[in-house]
Amino acid sequence: MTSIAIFKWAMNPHDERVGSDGQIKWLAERPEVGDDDYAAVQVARDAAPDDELVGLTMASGDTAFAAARGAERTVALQGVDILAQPTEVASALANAVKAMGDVSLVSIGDSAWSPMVPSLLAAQLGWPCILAVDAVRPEGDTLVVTRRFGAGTQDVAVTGPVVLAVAARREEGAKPGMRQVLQARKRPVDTVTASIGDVPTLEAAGLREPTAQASKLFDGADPAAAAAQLVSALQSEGVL
Amino acid sequence: MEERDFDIIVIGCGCAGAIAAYVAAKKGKSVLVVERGDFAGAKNMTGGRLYAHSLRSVLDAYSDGEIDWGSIPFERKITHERIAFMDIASAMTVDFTSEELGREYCDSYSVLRGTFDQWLAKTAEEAGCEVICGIAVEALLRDDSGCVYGIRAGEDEITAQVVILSEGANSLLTERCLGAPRPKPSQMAVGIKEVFELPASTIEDRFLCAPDEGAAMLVVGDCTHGYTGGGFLYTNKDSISLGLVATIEHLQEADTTIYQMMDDFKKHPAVAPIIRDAAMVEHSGHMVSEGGYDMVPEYVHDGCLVAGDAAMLCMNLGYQVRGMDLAISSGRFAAEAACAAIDAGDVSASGLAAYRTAMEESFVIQDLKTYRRWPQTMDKWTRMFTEYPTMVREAMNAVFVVDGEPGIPLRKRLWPIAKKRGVFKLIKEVGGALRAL
Repeated sequence: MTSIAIFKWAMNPHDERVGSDGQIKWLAERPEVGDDDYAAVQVARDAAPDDELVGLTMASGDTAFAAARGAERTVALQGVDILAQPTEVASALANAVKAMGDVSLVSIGDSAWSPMVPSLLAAQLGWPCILAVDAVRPEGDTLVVTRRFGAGTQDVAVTGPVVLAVAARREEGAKPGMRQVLQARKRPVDTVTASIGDVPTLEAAGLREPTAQASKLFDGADPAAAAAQLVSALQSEGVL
Repeated sequence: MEERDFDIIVIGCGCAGAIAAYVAAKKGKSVLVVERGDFAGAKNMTGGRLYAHSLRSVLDAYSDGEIDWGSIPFERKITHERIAFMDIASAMTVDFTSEELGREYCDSYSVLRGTFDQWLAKTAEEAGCEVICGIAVEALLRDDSGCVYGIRAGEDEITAQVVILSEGANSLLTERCLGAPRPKPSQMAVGIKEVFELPASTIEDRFLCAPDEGAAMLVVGDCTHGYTGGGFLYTNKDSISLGLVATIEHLQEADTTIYQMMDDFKKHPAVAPIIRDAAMVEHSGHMVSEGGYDMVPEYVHDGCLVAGDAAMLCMNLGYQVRGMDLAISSGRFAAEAACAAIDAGDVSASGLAAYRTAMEESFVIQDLKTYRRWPQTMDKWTRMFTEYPTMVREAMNAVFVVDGEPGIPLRKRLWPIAKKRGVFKLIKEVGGALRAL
């Protein structure tokens, strides 16, 4: 069986510049490593330690991210318009997964950068999708998935193929070192032309900016009083 | 020679590092480039302008015609040179353009380092280098004899026959591992830059430039509130880079901050119309070496060479600011010397001495030596940033203002303006400056 960890598949909104005329300009038109990607690889590895782990990416250039974290090989999907519809991205990823055959699990970042793709990917595959995944542990033929549930967590037992949308709680602790990256670059990378099915398109009907919060000004003439006001305001906002 | 992981490790993937890696790879060496930013150029900020001669000579020598000059992501070819004296409400600007400014090997280009450095890194990769980003090198590895033989980052150690250190002006490794002295506050400056987006046609209209051509402008005077330093402006394809550089020593004494200087600079009547209706899309800051030749550290060591800004190869002459062309040539010379030393089986400092020879026989060290006295001259010439812009305003008003009063001969109008500042003092100061330049 094969586990697939998807990485570098979404544009970083930090690279998105919205002009005063509403025009969007991308400073870097390429997918970037997402905050959740390392956790997606980790979960795929933990779910099936004895299975083959394959990295799947839409990136060009450096594709060694998953291999540096344990993937035996990487499949790089080419030919997808990176600004494409999430339905098309999900279709391309799903078809790539299907082409790999005996896949038991797909792990992908529960990304705020493109939040619909994990669910659409599961829909295209016809598999269940678990969002906000923290961790997994295999128990016999069952996979126990720990996901965020309200303020706590919930364990979900799954059998059969599944899409896990993983949400990292923190930055990656121990990043791969230079040697791991260099060795990872020697692992095989198959470049595959994406196949996109006939999928519906989703049109953005409009965007609204968040409601502006009123600013609070503290008179700094009395620094101690200003500091006390600041602390009080932060406490009332729930920051402290 | 002992077996190593790579022939050459290059630390830093800016102009010097990427070119060193490219040249070494073209010479058949295995090369690893380690860049601490998430991508090449992530940590770089320059005005900036590249004088193209050094890049042209590298590509002429090594690219085998594989690189089309037109495909390099330059912003605009600089065909207008502007120098401005600015006091609080006036500015006298000289705008010079000529055919020679655009001639091959004399040409220069505005660049945005984020884009340009990524192109350099890609070019080095295509030549066969390994480029790893997001790794900060913490130390150089030394053998018992003190010869550098690799790098350490975290728990990782990678070895090489030669390490080329080109990690930029904030180089901790040269200080920590190679004994370079910490620069003095008078030798380092803070540079800040904002990028303003404008349609290309608007930029061309405002600077009277042809499409794809642009202007470079250096400003002295009130832009730094009279403190040593200056302003700069470069036209990009669809944006303008505007910024200030001021020495740390004078900023420590200043009654204001560089941010306030920048804010006032943008509102100055000579600058505000240039960026009118533009959207500020980027803000950045960086350290700049300003000390010239006297702050160049030892750049040849056993097993290690220092290139680019890490070797403090930067020149600010007031009418020219150069760094990238020095970096590119130093990267090339370092790679050539390293390759020759590896081939000869001697990577000691004496084996790598060809780097020093190449640097000293080229414009890199010769230009720094020629203008060696300028940084000190400029540092002490405080009236250049205070009295002179005001004097220029008074003189230009004397020349151009017509107020209906009976005319006075020009020499009688100008003489008191010079006399007020001390004619002999002016002659001495200008003479001193000319000698330093």
